[in-house]
Amino acid sequence: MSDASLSVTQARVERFAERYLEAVGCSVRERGDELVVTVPETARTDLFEAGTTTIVCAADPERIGADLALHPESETFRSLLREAADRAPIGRVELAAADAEVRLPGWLVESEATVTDTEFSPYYDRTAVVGLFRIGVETVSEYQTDVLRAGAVDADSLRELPALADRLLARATPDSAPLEAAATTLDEDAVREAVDALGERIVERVRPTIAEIREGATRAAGAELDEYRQLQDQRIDELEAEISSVSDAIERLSTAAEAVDSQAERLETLRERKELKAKRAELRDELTELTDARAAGFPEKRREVGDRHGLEVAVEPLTVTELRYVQGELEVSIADAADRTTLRVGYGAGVGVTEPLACERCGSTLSAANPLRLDGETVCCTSCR
Amino acid sequence: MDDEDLVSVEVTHEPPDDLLKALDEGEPETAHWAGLTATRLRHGEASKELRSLAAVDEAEVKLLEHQVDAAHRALFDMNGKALLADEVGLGKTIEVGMILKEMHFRDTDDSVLVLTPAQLAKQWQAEMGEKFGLEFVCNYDDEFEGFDAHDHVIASIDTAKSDRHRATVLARDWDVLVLDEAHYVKNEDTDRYELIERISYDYAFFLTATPIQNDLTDLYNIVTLLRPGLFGSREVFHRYFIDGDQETLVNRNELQERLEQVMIRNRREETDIDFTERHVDTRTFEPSRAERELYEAVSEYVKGAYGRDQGQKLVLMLLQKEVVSSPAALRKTIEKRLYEQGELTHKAELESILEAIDAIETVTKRERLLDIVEEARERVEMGRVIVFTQFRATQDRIIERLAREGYETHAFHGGHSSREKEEIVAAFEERGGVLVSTDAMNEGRNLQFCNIMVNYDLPWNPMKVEQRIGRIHRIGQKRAVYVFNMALEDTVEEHVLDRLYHKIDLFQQSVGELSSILTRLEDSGTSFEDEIFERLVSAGSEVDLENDFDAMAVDLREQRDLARKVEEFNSGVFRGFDLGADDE
Repeated sequence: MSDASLSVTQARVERFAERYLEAVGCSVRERGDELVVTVPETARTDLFEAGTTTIVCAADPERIGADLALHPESETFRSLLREAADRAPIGRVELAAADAEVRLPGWLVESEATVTDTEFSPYYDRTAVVGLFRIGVETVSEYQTDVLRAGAVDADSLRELPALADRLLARATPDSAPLEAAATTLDEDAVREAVDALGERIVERVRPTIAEIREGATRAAGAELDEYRQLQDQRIDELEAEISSVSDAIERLSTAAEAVDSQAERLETLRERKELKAKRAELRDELTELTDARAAGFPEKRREVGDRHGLEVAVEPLTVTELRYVQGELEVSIADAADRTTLRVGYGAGVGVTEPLACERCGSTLSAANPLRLDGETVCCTSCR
Repeated sequence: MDDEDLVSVEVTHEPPDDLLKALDEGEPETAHWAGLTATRLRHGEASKELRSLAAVDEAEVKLLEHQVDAAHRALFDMNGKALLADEVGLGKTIEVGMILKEMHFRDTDDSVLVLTPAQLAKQWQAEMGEKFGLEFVCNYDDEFEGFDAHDHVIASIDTAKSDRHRATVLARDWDVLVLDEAHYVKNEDTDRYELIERISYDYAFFLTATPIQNDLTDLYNIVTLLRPGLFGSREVFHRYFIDGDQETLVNRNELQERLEQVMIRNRREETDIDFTERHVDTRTFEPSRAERELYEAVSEYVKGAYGRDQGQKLVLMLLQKEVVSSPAALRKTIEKRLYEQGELTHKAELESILEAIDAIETVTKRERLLDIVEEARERVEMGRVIVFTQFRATQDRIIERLAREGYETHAFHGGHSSREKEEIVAAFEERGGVLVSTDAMNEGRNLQFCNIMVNYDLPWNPMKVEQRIGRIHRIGQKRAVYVFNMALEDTVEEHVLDRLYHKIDLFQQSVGELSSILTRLEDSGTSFEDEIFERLVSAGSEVDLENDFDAMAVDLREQRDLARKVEEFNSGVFRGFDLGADDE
């Protein structure tokens, strides 16, 4: 589930603008570094008035003058993207069966055995859902991370079909001819179900990125907490010193109270002592509270700091594309120097092998890392050799 | 530490409600393709080219590969928060200029605050303007009306932190903060540190050749200002990266890995910067009797007047500078005081100075300048020489004299428009001869086609001397450079400035070294010009004066040695770290 975003270059900006404007009914003519856009009354865009508009494909303010500019940071380009992205975030497309070429799984590609023949038998049509998702990771101490990811699942079984997402992405670029699309046949429940399944899986795939950001945020929160701990230690030292000095004062007053002759003076001294005792009790309470909190690891502060540095991961579905694909079975003939055999696996056109295959001897699942091996006619894995 | 579970992760799945609204919208056939493609493009990073490069005027600034790389990395790989820590003289200011130019181009520079040591603020302003066309208001400009009144401000950090301005600096959200000589905020207990810590900004670029002044904690402090938490807490940093007993670095790889996220350091040996030789020749001349009398009369007056009223310091300093530049420069100021400002208290003294000026028939320096330019006419291509003076009146007289001798002359001063300045430099390049310039000739001008310069008078600020030399002795100069200093015997120029500057090796400093020395000086609360003036007027005798300036030279040398040691120490710490440009 790789990054689905497209880097923005001047060439892509220009090609997208041309294709989009033509798709909404304008005609576009190139003239040097300019695009001359003719906008009919019927054009389905709000960006330009009907008539002819000249757009300069340059970023140099002197060259642009009073004209409209088209470059990656230009307002024109941003408006085009905004309008296009808001317009039809959900749709159905037909991907031509250009991929008559069979997609072999890793456990065959990496195998020492050779594939001598393949035959695909289509059984039935199935529906897949491809989604583009924005994943935003935010925390106070790290840069905000924003990624775009694509995923595909079967609309009924919700099984992942990564190859289909790749196929759609290969066609959704300014460099490829616009795909013909139609309204989706999916109902609201099907969309919700597919989006939920895709969202979960996409989050799983970006876990390493999230973990990395969390590590940085944890370091920052730790630093803050450490500083707090030091401050509190300091406060504890101060309190201890204060209590000790108040105790000394109480001591002195006690001695003084015994020594004075006048009743009034004695009462005054005792009153002062009482006040100091109250103050000491207060200080002791504060000290106990602090030392208890320290022993417990300052749970409140910890929570507060932790919450503030907490990562908020927002997963937002941006587009949903319904795709049809044909599910069937692939018959694969395999041979090595000594043996040959034929096996049948579930296969989707444009999707690839849709079910795992287990080693007939040890039961391990075959993979690119543990590819197929032939032992007579038995399909084995490499590790149980 | 048991802090691993400190930070929680909360995942929110937004419901697809917005998407579902579009379920029933009948859109044309290709709209969904456009929607998909636009969504992908919207999340693509904008192209990582420095798009403003084309708009940088090559005549004003020659950009070097390591500078372009640094600007690129700071902007795109470090998300606009970077510590630019190139070794001295590799052009960190240029890197920031490119960064700011690019941000301007991308419209992300609505408010920019550049904080520098006081002595460098005006230089920053000039460089940003001339090399990159970026206009800033400096806190020393007359039109400066406070930090809330302008959007692009260059200011001394101490002005920014002062009680008068602090609140307004902190009240705004700046788009960009630039901090020059960032090692001066290394100490977390200072007002400067607190100011930077509290300023609100989106992007920040800190510059220093020596992020570590005393120990590795300095690095921790500076980096933590830029990227809080990158190194964790101070204790963890110490425990993990510093060998407690040896005070040496441990876990270097991990440190490098983290530093790479925020710091760029190019080394001189890895760049293609190579300076040619520099020869300095101080020529001292015996003044005529009349010149000697004038010098003494002015010095006497200055001393006496300052003793009576220190409020006149600036104008007295000016007189002392003018008397060694030319009688014409001096005359202008004296006449102004007498006739325009109606100076009455010292009328007689001033009038006698005017008489002393009138008594001068031949101006020695002016005559001897002819020797130097004649030598150049015979020896170097098209006899190109640049003569620098601080005063317009001096400039006029030099031009007159040279023209009378039939030299091709060009005058350059601050009164010309930008276009005129360009034309003057172009004519000088094309036709050769002598360019007589005031210090309005800014660093941006590309004059390496000339390799001889004359300091007709010496500025009291060594930065200005360095800037003058820097105009011809710069990257791209292919020949050895000759610097001539002209001074009359036993004047402030000869026994103070020239000797002092030689003692501190000013004429042989590597470019950029001086600023670190001066900022050290400034950090101890001293201004160079004031130091000179105070010593000059308070010295009891010639011997006192000489001793005084020797002591000043020793101080400066100490500062320079310290600066060099710190630089060497940093080189040692970062040796083996790959924090420079990629080799791709």
